[in-house]
Amino acid sequence: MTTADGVTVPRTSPRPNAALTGGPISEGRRRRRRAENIRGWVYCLPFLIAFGLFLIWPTIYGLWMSFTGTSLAGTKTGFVGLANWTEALGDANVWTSLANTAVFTVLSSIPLVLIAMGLAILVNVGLPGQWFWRLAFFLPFLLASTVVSKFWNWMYNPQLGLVNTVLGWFGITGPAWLQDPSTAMISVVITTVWWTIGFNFLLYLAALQNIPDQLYEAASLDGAGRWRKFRSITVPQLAPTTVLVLVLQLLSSLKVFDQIYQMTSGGPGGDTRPVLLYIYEVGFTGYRLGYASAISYIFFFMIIIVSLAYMVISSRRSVKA
Amino acid sequence: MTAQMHIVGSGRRSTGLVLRYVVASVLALVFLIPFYAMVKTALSTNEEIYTSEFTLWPAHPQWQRIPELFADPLFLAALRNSAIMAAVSTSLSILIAALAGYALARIPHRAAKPMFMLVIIVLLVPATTAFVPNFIIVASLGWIGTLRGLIIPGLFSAFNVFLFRQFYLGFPREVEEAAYIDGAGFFRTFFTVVFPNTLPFASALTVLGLIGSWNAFLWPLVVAGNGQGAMTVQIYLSSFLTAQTFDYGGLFMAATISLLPVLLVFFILQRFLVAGIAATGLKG
Repeated sequence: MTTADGVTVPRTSPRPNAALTGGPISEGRRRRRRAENIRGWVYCLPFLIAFGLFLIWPTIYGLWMSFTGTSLAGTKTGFVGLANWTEALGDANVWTSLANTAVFTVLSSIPLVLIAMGLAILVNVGLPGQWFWRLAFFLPFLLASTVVSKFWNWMYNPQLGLVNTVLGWFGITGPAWLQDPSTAMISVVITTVWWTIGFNFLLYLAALQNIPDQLYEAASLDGAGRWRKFRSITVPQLAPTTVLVLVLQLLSSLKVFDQIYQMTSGGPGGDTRPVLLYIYEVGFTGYRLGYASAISYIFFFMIIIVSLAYMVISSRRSVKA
Repeated sequence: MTAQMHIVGSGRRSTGLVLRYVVASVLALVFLIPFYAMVKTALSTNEEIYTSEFTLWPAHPQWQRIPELFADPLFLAALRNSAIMAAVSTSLSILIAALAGYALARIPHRAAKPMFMLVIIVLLVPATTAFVPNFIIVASLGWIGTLRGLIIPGLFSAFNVFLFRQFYLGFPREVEEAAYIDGAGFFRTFFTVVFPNTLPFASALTVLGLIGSWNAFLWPLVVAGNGQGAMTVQIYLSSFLTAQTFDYGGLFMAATISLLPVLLVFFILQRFLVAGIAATGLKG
C-alpha cells in the first residue's frame, strides 16, 4: 500500500486485485490482464481528458506564465526570466498573506474538527428528535458565502450588530470586530466555524452510527463507566473519521477566499488577507497574471512541502505500529 | 434504548439528558437565529432595518419585494444560469468521477497507481495553482461570460474520484462478475449493474455538489461577467448593494429566495446524506 493510501484511507479492505498479482502467470491470465489494462484506461479517459485540459495543462501553462509578464489586458511582454519569482520572494505582502492563510487554517481547523465531534456526540445517543438537531447544525452549510458574509457583517457591526448588543447587556463595550486588527481574523474564523461545521458534524454523525452497539454492551458488562467507554471505544472508533475530517478541513481552509473577500476584503491593512485573495488582487485587479502565477506556485510548493513532511511522519508512525 | 443508557442510574440519566437538551437547544438557537433574522430583514422596510428597536416581526411585511425581484430580468437570468450550472456540472462531474473511481478501485492496470497519486496531489492544490491559468485558457477560448466557461473547467472533482474509489473498494465483486458471465460489456456492466447500486451514495455527493455549485463564488466572480449570459445568483447577490444602493431588505429577500432551491434539494435528499457518507468506507 502506498503512502498516500496509508494517510488518506485510514481503514479499508486490502485491495481486491492483490490476488491477481501473485502466483504463476498463465496465458489466459496474461490476456485478461492486458484486457483489464485497456479497460482501465477507457474508464479513466473522461476524467483524464478533463483533468489534462483543466488541470495538468493549466498547471504547466501557469508555470510558463510565471516566467512571463502576461497581463490581464492581453499584452504579453514575453519572457522575463525569474523576475516574477524574485519579486514575489521579496514581496512582504506574499509572506504576510501566506502567514494569514496558515493562521486561518490552524485557527479554523481545530474548532471545526473538535466542535463538530462534540456536537455529533451530544446529539447522537439518547437525544430524541435527531432529525431536528441534524437539520439545525447542518443548515448554515447550505448558505452561500454572499449571504453568510452580509449577515455576519451586520452581526459584527459595532453599533447595530447583535454581538455588541448582547455584550452591552453585560456592560461590555465590544470592539469593532472586523475593523480592529486584533479581532478581525478571529471574527472571520468564528463565522467560518458557524458556517461550515455542519459538514464535519455529518461525517462524525455517520461514523458514530457505525459504531456497533455490542462494543458498548460488552464494555458495560466489564463494568466500564461512561468516560471510560468514551475514551476506549468512541474515540478510537472515530479515529479514521477524524483523520479524514482533518485532512479535508485543512484542504478547504487553505483555499479560503469567499467569506474573507466579502467580509473584510482582506483588511484591516491586509491583516486578514489570505494568499488566494492576494493572488486575485494581483492578477485581476492589478492585471498582472504572470506575477499572480508565480505567487500561486510559491503557495503550491509550500503545501507540497508540508504534505510531504506529514506523509513521511505518518508513514514512519504506521511502520512503527 | 441504547447501550450507553443501560448502566446509568435513572436519576442521573434524566439530569444528564436535561443538561444535554439545554446545551443542544442553545446551540441550535445559535445556528438557527440567523435564518429568522434573514427572513425578518427580507420583509422589513429599510427604515425598520436601521432602527435599533427590536420587533419580533415587521409591522408591514414587504411581500411586494418578491414580485419586484422577479420583474428584474437579471435576477431571472441569474436563477436560470445557476440552476443550469448546478444541474449540469453536478451530474456530469459525478458520472466522470464514478467511472474514474471505479477504474481506480477495480481494474489492476498500470495507470491506477500513478493516477491515484495524481488525484491525491490534485486534492491538495486545484483552485490555487490552476486558477489563474485556467482563466487565461477560458478567456482565450472566448468563454468569458458564457455558461461553458463557468461549467466545463470544474467538471472533474478529485474529491469525488477519491470517494468513489473508496466506495467501489467495498463493492461486492460477485455482482459484476455475474454480469460479465452473462456477456455484458464493460460499459454495460458499469451502467446497468454497478452504477445503479451506487445511487444512494451518488445522491449524497449530488447534494454536496449542488450546494457547492449553486453557492460557487470565486470562479463565477472572474468568469461570469456582468451580462445575463452567465450571471449567477451569488454574483447577483454580491453586486446587489452597489447596484441598488442600500436596499438591505431587497438583498435579503433575494438571498432568501436563492436559498429555497438548496433547501428543497436538501429536504428531498437528506436521508441519503448520512447514509451515503457512512457508505464511503470512512466508517471505523
